[in-house]
Amino acid sequence: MGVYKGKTGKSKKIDKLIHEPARLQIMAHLYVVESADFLFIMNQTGLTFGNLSSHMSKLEAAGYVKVVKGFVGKKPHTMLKLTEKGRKAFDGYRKSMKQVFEQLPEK
Amino acid sequence: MDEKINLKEIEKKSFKSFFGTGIHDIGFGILLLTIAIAPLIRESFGYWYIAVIIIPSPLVISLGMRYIGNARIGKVKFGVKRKSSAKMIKKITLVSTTLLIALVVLTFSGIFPGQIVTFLGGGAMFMLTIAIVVFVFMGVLAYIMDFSNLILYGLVIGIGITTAEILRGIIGAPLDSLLTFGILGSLLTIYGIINLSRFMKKYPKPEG
Repeated sequence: MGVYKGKTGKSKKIDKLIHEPARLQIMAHLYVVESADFLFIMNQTGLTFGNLSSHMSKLEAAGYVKVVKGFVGKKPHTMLKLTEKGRKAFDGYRKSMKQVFEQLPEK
Repeated sequence: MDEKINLKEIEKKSFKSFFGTGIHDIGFGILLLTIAIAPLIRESFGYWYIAVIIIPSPLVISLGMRYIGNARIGKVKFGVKRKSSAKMIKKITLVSTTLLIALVVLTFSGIFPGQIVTFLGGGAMFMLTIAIVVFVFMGVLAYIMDFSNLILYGLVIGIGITTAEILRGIIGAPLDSLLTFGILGSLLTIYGIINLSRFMKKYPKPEG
């Protein structure tokens, strides 16, 4: 995790798992909806199937995303949803980044 | 840019992707085409002609979205804000459908429209009032649903109703509605087909 100074002067960390651009996109898209399927996230983020799978595994392993596998008719169907932990982590990330930019000196 | 605005934009873009398929334009174009031929089919179907007008459009939209739209964009459940908008739309649809049924019953029972038409100052004025009401109604729905094409649909209906009324005095019925709604419906359907082909190109059918 990247380190920066918070408002109180204490060192704070930036969640690198979310900070990666592709995962940030995935998290942002899942944050604004209740749940979405694999295809929807693929289309919205422009990621390939393999790329999305790999990032999703990392987010799932961290407990940020819940992957619900099911069937629509005979076809397998995967729904993705941010967990409570994932939502909190994304909120924390937003606050951290905002603070980082606020601390930047004027040109 | 503020990150809150970005998230809003992401949500808006995701939501709007469902209306950019062209299927709604085609569905609405078909509705106008059925309105155009309504006076002709009325003779063969009797009062059931209303069903022939109402059924094809939602059928095309729902089947189109199921087998073309959702199959290519994917499925999504939106958040609380969209759900409350959907609930409001359901309430508005329920009230307007009840009013529409009441209007149809009153018209066929001979109570309506004579009195109201006279009150509004005759045929053209009455039709203009209906056109404005439809346009405002569609505008409100567009705002609630965040679907700006509904404004276009409202405008097209408004223009259609007033033009047909003006043309009735010149070329008579049923050519007035056949011509007006036929042209407007065809244009909207072509516009929808162009949008749909663009959409299908942008979102090819996923393999497997």
